[in-house]
Formats: sequence, C-alpha cells, structure tokens
Amino acid sequence: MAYERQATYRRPSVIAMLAAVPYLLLSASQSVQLTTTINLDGSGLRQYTVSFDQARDPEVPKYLREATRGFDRPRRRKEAGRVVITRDWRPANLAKAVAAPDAAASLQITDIIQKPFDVFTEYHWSEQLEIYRETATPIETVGEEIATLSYKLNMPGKIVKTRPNADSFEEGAAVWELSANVDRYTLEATSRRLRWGYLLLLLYVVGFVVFQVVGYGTRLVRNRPRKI
Amino acid sequence: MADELDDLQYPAQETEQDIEEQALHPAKAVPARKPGWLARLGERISNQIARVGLPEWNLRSFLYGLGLLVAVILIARNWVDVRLDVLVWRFDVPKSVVIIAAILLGAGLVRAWDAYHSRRAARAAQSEEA
Repeated sequence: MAYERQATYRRPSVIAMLAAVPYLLLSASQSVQLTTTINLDGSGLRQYTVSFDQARDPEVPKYLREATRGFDRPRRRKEAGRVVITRDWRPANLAKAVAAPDAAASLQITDIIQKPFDVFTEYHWSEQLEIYRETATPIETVGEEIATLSYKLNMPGKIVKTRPNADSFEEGAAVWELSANVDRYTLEATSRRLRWGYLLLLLYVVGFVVFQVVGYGTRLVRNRPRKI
Repeated sequence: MADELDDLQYPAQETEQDIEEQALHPAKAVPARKPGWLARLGERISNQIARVGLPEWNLRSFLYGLGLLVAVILIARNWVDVRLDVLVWRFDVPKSVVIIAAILLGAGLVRAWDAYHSRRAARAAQSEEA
C-alpha cells in the first residue's frame, strides 16, 4: 500500500509548505479541503479551504497558519454560524519550488523534448503528505478516524492513473478522503494531455506541402505537349 | 444640319471592333416578370459572396498563416493564471493577457515618445525658418 502508519510522532524542524498538516486543524474543523492545481506551464495553485464553527475562531486560524506558512493573505466569509477561510499560494514554477532532494513533492513533465514522437504530454505528480500531532492530547486523538482531509488534485488533460486509487473524481479532478489516523500518505497521479498545438502545426505544414505538390503535378499534366 | 439628317437616314455601319466589343458584353436576357424581393435579396448576397476571393496559398501566405497559428498556440498554452501584486491588492490574470498588455504598453510608449520627438523637431524647424 502507498501509505503507512508510524509508531512515533514527530514534527519536522522546518514545515515544508507542501507536506504537513496539523492534526488539530482536522479535528477542530468541520471540513478541510486541500486543493492542488497543476497548470500547463508547470505553475500551480495550492489552496486550503477550512470550514469551522464560529466558536472555534481564534483556534482554527492558528492551526491553519501553521500549515500555510508563506501563503498569501487568507480570505474569510461567514455563513450560517460557521466560518470559511481560504488561503492559497500560487508558485510560478511548482516543480522548481519543490526541487530540493528531500522535498515532499515532485512534478515531472514529459514534453516534446523528452518524447518528440508522442502525441501526448505526460504530467506525473507525487507528494508525501504528513499529518503531525505534536501538541494533540490522547483525548483529542480519539476521533482521529473520523477527522478527514479532502485532498483534491487538478492536472492538465485527463488523469489516467492514481496511487492509491482516488476515492472519486469531480470534474476531472481526483479526490482522496484521507483519514487522520495515518501519519503519512504518499499520493501519486499521472495525467496525459494531447499536444494539439503541435498536431495543428504539423497538419498545416503537411497540408501546404501536399497542396504545392498537387498543384505542381496538375500544372505539369496540363502543360504537357499534346499530340495533334 | 445636313450631316445630322444623313446620320438619321443612313446610320453608321458596324465596324469589326464594334462587333468584338459586343461579343465581350453579350446582351442579357431579362425575364418579363420583375423578380420578387427574395430573389433580389438572394442576388445581392450572391454578388457579394462572388466578390470574395481566397488568397493564393504561396510561400508568403503560408508563412503569414504559420506565424498566426504559432501566435494562437502560444496564447492558448500560456492561458494560465498568474498572481499580480499591486500595492495591497492581489489578483489573478491569465499570463497571455499580461504579456499582450505589456507589449501594447511598450508599443504605446514608444509611439508616444516618437510622436513627441517628431513634434519637437517640427517646432524647432519652424522656429529656425522664422
């Protein structure tokens, strides 16, 4: 299986932007969704959407700040007695942002340079997600099986493979419902996108060549000297 | 007066040139009934369509088309949101729009600079003449 449970709990000395979720954020909120969007050019969007009861207002935003260091300013709205906070980060180059050897996530793009004769560009995303419980008490961790993180992944083209298998697909995005009773998840997904731009160019050039050859042949036949 | 009377009685003979010109513009047979509004509209539309001529697909037009196709593909491939920070505001704009806006802004500035210098040179020339 792609995920494993560890006996000891530890908090990384530097919380990687893409890797760690505080357990208390999941247990204190009504719902937590982590959305990763990968764009064509390798840039991306990382977004947390947290919904919680208004009474938990000072507490949940603090946990969210731990998970989203370096993200942009949060946006909040109130609806029917609960608060919804969204905080996101839009790196210009997602792959470069996680290029360190011990990084928790990686993006590999197999484009025309790597495979010139393939009609598809392939995107492969891999991420290790850690749920850490450093300050959680044993009482708070009793409900860890119920506390879930909804991880949604949008990739260019169509997602063809996920590991582990995604729980559902929403408008082409893979969704995993990750339970908090596991410390670390390794999520992988592969998508393929048709290189329509290159196909159009090829069609246009070939079409021109064929047009010229046919025209030349037609003129040759028409101007052929005829026997009287 | 006598010449005019002669023309009426003895009209000029058709020359070969006249006959050739008439062959180039044959007489158009017209039906006895006047065409309805639908037929007149159809004729007008078909006349307009007949004026449209497709460009010849030679090397020059091929290169123009190729440049246009490449531009469209570049715009489509770079139609991803980027985040712009303007003082305290942040908003997401497609990258292609940012690039096009930057090009237009640069071209506009160059054009304005050029126009300013041209007017300045013209005023200097006028003052020298005066």
